[in-house]
Amino acid sequence: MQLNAGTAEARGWRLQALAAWRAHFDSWVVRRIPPARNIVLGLNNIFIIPNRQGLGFLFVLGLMFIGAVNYEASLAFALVFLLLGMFVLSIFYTFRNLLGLHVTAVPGAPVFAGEKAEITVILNRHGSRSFENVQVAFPDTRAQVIDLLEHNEVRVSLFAPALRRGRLSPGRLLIDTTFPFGTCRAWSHVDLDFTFLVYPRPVECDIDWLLASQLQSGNTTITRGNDDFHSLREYQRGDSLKHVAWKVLARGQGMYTKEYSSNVDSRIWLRWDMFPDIGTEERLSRLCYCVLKLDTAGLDYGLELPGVKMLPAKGGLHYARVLETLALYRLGA
Amino acid sequence: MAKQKKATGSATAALDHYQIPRMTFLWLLAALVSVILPHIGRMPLWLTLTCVLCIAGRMLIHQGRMSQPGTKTKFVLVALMVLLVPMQFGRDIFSTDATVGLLLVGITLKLLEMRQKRDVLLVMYLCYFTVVAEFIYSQSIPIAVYMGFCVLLITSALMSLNQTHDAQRPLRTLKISAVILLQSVPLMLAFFLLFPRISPLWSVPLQSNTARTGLSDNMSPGDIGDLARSADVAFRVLFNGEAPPYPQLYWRALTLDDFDGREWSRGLMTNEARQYMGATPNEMRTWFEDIEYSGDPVEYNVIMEPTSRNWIYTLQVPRFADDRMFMRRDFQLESARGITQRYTYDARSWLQHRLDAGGMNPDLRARYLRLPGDANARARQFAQDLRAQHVDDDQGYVNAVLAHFRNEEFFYTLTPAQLGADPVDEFLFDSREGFCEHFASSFTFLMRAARIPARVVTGYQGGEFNPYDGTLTIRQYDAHAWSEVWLPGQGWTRVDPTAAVAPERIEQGSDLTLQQEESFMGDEVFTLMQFRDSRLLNDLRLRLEMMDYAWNRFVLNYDQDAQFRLFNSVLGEVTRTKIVLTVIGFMALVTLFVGITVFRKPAINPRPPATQQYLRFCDYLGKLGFARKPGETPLQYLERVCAANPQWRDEFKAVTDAYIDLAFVRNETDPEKLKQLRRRVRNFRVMN
Repeated sequence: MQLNAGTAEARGWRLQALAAWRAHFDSWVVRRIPPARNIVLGLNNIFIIPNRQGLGFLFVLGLMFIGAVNYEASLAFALVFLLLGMFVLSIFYTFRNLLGLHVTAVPGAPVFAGEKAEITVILNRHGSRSFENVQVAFPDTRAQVIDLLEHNEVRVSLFAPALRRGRLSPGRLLIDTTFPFGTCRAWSHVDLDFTFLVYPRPVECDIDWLLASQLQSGNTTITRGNDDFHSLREYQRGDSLKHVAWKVLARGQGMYTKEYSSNVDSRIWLRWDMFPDIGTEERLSRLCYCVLKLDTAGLDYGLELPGVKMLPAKGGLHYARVLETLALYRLGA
Repeated sequence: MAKQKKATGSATAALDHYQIPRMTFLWLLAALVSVILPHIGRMPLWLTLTCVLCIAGRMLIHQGRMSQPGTKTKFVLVALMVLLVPMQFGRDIFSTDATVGLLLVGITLKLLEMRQKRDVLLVMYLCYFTVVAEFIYSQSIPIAVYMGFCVLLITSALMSLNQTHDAQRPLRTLKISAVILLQSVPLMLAFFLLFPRISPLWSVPLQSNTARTGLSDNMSPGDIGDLARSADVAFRVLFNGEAPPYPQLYWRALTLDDFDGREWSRGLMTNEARQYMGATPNEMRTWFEDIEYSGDPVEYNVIMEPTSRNWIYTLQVPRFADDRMFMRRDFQLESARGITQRYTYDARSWLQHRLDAGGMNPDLRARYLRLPGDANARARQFAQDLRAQHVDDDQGYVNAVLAHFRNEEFFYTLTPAQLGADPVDEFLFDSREGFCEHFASSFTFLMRAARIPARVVTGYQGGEFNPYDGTLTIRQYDAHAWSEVWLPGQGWTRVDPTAAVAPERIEQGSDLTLQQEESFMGDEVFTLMQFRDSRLLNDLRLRLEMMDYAWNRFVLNYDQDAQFRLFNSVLGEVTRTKIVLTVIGFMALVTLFVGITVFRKPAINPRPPATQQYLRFCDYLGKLGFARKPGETPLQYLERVCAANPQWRDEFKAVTDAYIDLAFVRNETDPEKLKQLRRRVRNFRVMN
């Protein structure tokens, strides 16, 4: 038991040291490869080191060397040295397999928290040299393998999990390769300086009462619409000139704006206090669900949160704006 | 093996789904088969069969017609091999043969059971190792070339393992591998020349029971004759200065002093024999000090093929400064270790010498006079009768015996009659036909019967001079046996009874003397050696041999000493700092050079192929006087030129259409269309 405890402690210490070293390394990487939209892989941002396979290769070479020494076989020496030369060259080749690669990425459409966000990574080359078996991955995505043989550009989609709402960064893109012999690994950690938008996770809630109540008492609510003339009010700066009551003006009675009302008033206000006694995220999730439902139903809806008021409307743009507001609400800067 | 199994057992299910890429598997199979092939002949049949079955099994697994072997099957297979291999090799389990056998079995079993990427990798690395194993046995030029090909295959397999499915194109993979290997050659040369060589760490017995063609340490009638069937090279000599006359080229290998009535063998015990080694003082070295040399020594360099034995070929009498060798009491050089690898040494011999001229101690003398029992009575009687005529005249007796051989009807032939219980008697008085060992054996017998100390010497005589590089090649068919007799005042003296019967053998070599005999080179059916009569082919053969010699001398023999000599000639006085600096500097330079070849800037955006074709077409029109104007589009160009030359319109339009289609519609990627464009351009050029 004591022994176990001891080893666990030792392991803990080692992990800590490793983590500390990692953090140090990461901050160094950040300083070394600053964020940029477009990055060309070059001498200052590619790292290379022989990997475990390479060490295995060197070990086998060592055994072969002992054989060559013991049997005094010149050709065995020659073979060992040829393979050693190949190993040295493979460092160059692996490095070259990233050198000059242009990397950029574009985020796909916004997603809801809990879904996966598509990010398109675009790799292209200026020149005819081919790039083979290059892996690209964000920290939380599955790696994709690409080749640039005939084509000068390749696009791959990576799907990063969107865990929470807001503007998220997928982290640094890891580009790595072991081509041609797998004996060493060249990699680069690039920050492509972009974020993607994540809407709150929709949480189902009862929405029928909202629809029903609003539909029943709908006509009583006066909202600016443009179907029927409703009344006149004094002109204010910014009112559309189309709605100015020109006849009244011509009679010299002053400048008035005509107000209209919709025939079927289906405007719905989504309000903060619709869902009492729950936390911010839960409220936003339910509001998000309502937005989805209302948009599907083709109804007008407005949003009223503490400090935010969006007048009722409908359509794709409105939908996106409302969701964006929900996504970024109270997230600070 | 067992360790490996454990690892796969604990591997996660996800890892178990690793699929070996089809192309990689094919590469690996090709590499493995070609690398094992040269080993097949040396291995016992069951081992070869095991390898073949394992490979076949793996192919079935790959095709999905068989499932992966389970733990039990694997255990049984490994256990079987663990039992069989020691049974086959017995006490020689640590010999190279056994090790290579294990390697082959191991690699094919691993092939059978590989699942993970690292298993595949292991098989590939073992393939490289098998190439080294081959070089232990043979390093000839053809083998080197073949193994180069194998290395290319293995390297392609290794690369293919690191390629995506889309990039798996055999020719492309092969090409990249070849380029990388070629670029590695400068580095290899640098390492080869400069990497410090060290002496073997421990000695390895090469082979257990492989019969090599060559001399053995005993000789019965017919033994040397058998060697004439073979044209294998025994050793090669390059004289430093002028070579001694051809009849003087008696290459001594060993002396035989013990006769049992039929067979001559080495009787000297090891302790007695190893009397003088190298330059170390030795209390029993008076006989060595007593060697009398006169005249100028002959200096020569010998590259001998492995014999698995200790003897060293020299001209009598050698003196040496090589601590790998010692001299036996019979003035024969021996290596401290069995010669299991091609072996090179520089030797100096004084052809004029007197050995044991001051006499021998009685024990030794008695040994050289000993004859067994009462066999060969007629020969004894003959010797006594002849001796009676030359009582105190040993030299006279020797001459009389030689005269007897010369004057009576003795025949020198490779296929003498079989001899029975008293071979000396039967040869001397009945059959009278024999090869050199018959003459040497009966001559020595007659000497001893007359109380003259004598021994049989086996070795080689003559050789073939290569006019292209001046080397002397001694083959197995040059094997020879002769006698040495001890004469008062002269000491040990070489006497060759064969020379009395067949002087042409000594003066011209066995090649010319024996080529009429049917069994001469009977083993060399399909080699160039058979065509020595054709001037052209013989010339070719000699040139090939010259290459082979250079290969042996400069490549295979590049060792610690050669390295030191190289450093010495380049650096002058050799110091450790100088060596380290040179090696590092040189390696850095070579690496830099190779690095530049790898990173040299590729042409930036080369014109796509369709554009190249079209521009070539425009150039051609330019030569005809219709150069394309700057900024002119292909269609404008077409209209302008065809307005002047309506007869071109059809072909011109065909070219232009194809180009426009390729360059602006299809993005230059349609190989069929490209071919079409090329054809149209060619058509236009042919017709106009």
